[in-house]
Amino acid sequence: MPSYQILLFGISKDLLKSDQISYPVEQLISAGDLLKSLKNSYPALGELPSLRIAVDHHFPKPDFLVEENMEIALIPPVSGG
Amino acid sequence: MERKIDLSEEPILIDPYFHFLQDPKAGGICLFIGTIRNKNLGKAVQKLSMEAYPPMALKQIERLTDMAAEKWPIEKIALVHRTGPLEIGDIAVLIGVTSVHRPEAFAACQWLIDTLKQEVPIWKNEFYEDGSSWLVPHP
Repeated sequence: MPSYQILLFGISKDLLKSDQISYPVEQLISAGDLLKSLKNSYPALGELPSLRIAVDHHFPKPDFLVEENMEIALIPPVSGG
Repeated sequence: MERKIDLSEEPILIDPYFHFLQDPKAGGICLFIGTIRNKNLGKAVQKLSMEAYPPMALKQIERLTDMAAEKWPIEKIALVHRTGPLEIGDIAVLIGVTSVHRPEAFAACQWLIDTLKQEVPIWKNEFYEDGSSWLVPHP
């Protein structure tokens, strides 16, 4: 079974009490489906005003197929500046 | 377009960026300096900490500078963002744009800070008298 390693930052790191999670899936899925699945597995993430998924340092289109060896990160609402 | 972009754990010094931005073709250099204020949403802020996702933050900043150069005729862009612990009054971000005429320097500088606040993975953790919290803007 494939598994995604997902980096966590900011409030999502606090919500999941870790800076990285391992997320097994039955088969490789799209960025959009991965985000939906994560929100289902961790309802606290779904309560954020926005949550994006980054793959290899950019925001992919929702239908982008995510591979296991890609660098995946959850991006909660940013607040730099 | 030439650029000087960075994330910095050390205090941001203005002079090296200003020197980089100087150009004989320039009619204007627009410099925006974002600083840490002592209040947010009515609550007194004592200090804060900036967390970044460094490789992506730098990539996003590079993309934004590319986009700005496509939108406006720009000679140079400097953009540096602080990370780590910051005190009230510290420089959080410096953005400088050099152009032949001033309107595009103003426009690009404003667009860069507005877009950075939406697209660059950096997060503020604010510390108050009674605890701390991640700032979560509602878009």
